[in-house]
Amino acid sequence: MARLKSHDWRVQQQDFFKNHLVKEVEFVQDQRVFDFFSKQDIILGIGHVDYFKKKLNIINNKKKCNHCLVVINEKTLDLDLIKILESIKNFKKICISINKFKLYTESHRSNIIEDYDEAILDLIKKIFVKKKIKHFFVKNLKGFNFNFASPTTQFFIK
Amino acid sequence: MKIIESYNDLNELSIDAKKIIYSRIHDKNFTNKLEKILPFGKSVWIDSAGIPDKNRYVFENRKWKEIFESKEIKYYKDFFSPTLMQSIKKYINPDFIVLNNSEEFRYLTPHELTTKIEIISNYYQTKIFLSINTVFLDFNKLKYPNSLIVENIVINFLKYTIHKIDNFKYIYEIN
Repeated sequence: MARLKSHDWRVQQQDFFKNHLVKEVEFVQDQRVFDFFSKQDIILGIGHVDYFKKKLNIINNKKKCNHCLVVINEKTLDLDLIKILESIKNFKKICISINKFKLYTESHRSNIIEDYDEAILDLIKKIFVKKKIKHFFVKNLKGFNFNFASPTTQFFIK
Repeated sequence: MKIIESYNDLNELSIDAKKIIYSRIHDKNFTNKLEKILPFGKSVWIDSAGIPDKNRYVFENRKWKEIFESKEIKYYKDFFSPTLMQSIKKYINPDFIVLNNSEEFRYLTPHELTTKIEIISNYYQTKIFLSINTVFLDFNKLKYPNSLIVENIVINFLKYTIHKIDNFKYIYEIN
């Protein structure tokens, strides 16, 4: 079977759901994203945001937006993640949704906090200084949440 | 609208859905590399998308039973059951064991992975080929690079080789 892109995989999952006699199914982490933004918000989309276009007004023109949605669901180097986050830190409303399994670094960074969930939060706090941050994550995530389709580490920032 | 936390919140998945999920777990990129490095001999493939033949015995988790057509495949309920391991050792006595992207070795911390490899290695006392994708390993990925973790997992084994496919995909050859 050919490797599917992240968005195709999400669409395919909806077909799994259709077999369960339920009209519409949403992962809780995706629903949080839909609830965070309003339909009037014009949102800059970065990363794998296609899935959210069905209900949100997502565009790729930075100048026209003051809200931002970042979905990291592909292998991403830590330094690239930092660059992305730095570029959006002045937006009014920001949602960052990360598949933490897909991050990587190329060097041993001894200054980073040992607990991974705390380390990601610490990185976010250092970039989004003095902002209100809501943090969601699943402790001891063992794949049951299908996180490789739908990221479960999320930050909602205002 | 139904809001779910995981697939566990749904009832049984369809056979088609199970086929899709199984094929995503068992990445073909590893199989190609494995076929190049495997020695000749009698092998047992457990939860590894193996294709049975006269020298290859294939075991799969019972939960996937309905997606396979081959009648040569055997099914187990518990990967680490002593009964399963004893039967494999006694009745097949393989030259090597293949664990190719097995679910049993996913979403583990490096320490948990080492422990599981030790159990398998100590029990079967034969060569083991274990493929892993570091994406599915649970460690602090902002702090530690893959290369360091991959080496540390097997560093205390007496005999091992690490075959690198790319920066994320590795095959351990143990014993």
